[in-house]
Amino acid sequence: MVTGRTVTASGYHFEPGFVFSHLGPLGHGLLRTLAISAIGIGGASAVGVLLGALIALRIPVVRQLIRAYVEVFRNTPLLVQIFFLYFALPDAGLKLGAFTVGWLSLLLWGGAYNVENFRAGFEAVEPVYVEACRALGFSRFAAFRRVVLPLGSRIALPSVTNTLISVFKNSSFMIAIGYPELTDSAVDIVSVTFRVFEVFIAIGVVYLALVWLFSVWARLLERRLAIPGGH
Amino acid sequence: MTRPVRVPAARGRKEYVVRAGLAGLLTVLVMATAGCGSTGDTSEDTGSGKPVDVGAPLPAEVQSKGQLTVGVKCDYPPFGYIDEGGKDAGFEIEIARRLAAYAFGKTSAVKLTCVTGANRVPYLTTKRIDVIIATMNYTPERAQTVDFSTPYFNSGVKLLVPKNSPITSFADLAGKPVTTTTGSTASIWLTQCVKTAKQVAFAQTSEAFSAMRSNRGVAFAQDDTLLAELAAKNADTKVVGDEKAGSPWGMGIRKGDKAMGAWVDAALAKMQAEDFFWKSFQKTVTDKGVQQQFQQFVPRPGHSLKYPTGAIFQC
Repeated sequence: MVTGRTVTASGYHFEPGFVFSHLGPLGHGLLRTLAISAIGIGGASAVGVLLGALIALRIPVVRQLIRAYVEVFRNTPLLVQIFFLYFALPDAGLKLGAFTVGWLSLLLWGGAYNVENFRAGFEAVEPVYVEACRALGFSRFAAFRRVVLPLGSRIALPSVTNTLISVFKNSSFMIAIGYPELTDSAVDIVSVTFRVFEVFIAIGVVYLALVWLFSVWARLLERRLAIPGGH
Repeated sequence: MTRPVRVPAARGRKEYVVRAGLAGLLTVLVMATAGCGSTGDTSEDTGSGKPVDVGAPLPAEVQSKGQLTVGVKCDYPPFGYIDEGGKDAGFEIEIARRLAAYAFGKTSAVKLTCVTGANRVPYLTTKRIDVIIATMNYTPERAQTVDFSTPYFNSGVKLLVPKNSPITSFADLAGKPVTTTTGSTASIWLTQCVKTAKQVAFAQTSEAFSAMRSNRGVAFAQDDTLLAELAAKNADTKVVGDEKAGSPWGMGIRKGDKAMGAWVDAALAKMQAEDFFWKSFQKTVTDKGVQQQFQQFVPRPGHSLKYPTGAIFQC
């Protein structure tokens, strides 16, 4: 048998300082995670408000098309969507790079959930408000923009926050297409050095801290937007 | 006689929906459990029924479990893959079953777990598997974390490219994207020796291959044996490049587990004496050209493989 040099019989000794020698690749990975997540989160929010509004306004045909989009992306696994965009589309003549597939898949997936979040928020606004607006001479669109949108968005905020946190964490799925974001960089380091604990604890802490910051910010936003006396 | 059936108004459509949902869930569960437990054995030789003394005792831990748990590749023809019937097949699968036949008298006394280049060592160190038989080249770095058995195969890294590709050597990869698998010898060698090549690493060889085919990389760098098999099956591709990072493959054993190491080495010596490796290789690699090419890379009676003593990764 060929025996190596340093490792103990129990198999593992913990070296907390180990990750510091790999900060370069991990840092680049984190930047890529932040990049695709930022585009994904921004896009998913915009898609959610816009399409959610179109559904709430009950515009025929458009409404059915949006429903179809939501069902397709909510009823299939994100991993399948990523594989489809990356491996299947080139056969249909559309070759998207790993970065594009990264933010686009997050945007489409998060967007589908956000359409539902916002729609539910808009529909939770009591019809009496809209009726009051119409009685005052507001157009349907103006009533929506000035009353339903601000009130409904407030109601939707907690579930939107949830979805956006998932969008951020799901950026780690890009390991499937070899896009070197944070998790992919970590697995790459582990595959060569076998420092499983150190590396995964390190990236776990990074994800935890970032999501925590985001949810603190979302809670502050919620409190700030809360209507005195409550809706 | 007909019995009047009365459906209470409250148990209308809602009840039906709930029941239909439950029935659907049950169906899925039954189907899932029916498909489980693929330790099934397809080879004609199912073992002698009695354990075989290989010259070293089977470790008590394995003995008490009644089966051997082996980490194998599931995407790596002709070594470890899933065949058309959905069963594990390949050269390394045959070896794993042979080990089980020695240990417990039957080739089915083995639990095969799919591993990848990136997770095979963690699987071993966390005791999810007893031994790695998964296309693992010897490297000094790996030997610091796992013990290697005596080698049972030999391979080096080459490149698979589209038939009309201008790429002819590793030097041509400078500055270009190339697909690999995470943690593979090919990836480690490229990192050290073709620093400007942009590696796109996947978990599965099948993914790295299809990514190369859709031009996400100018080449797919991997073990020559896998590439030879892929090129034989896909006429629009060819293998190029001088063999790099050539090194023997060994089984991975938990660091310091001397009892397991001694038993595995004794079992491998017995397989070599029986010329099992060559017979099994011919059975799993049917392409005569590929057989010829790799004939000297399997241990045979009077022909042993050796691990290199110096640095393997000469550029």
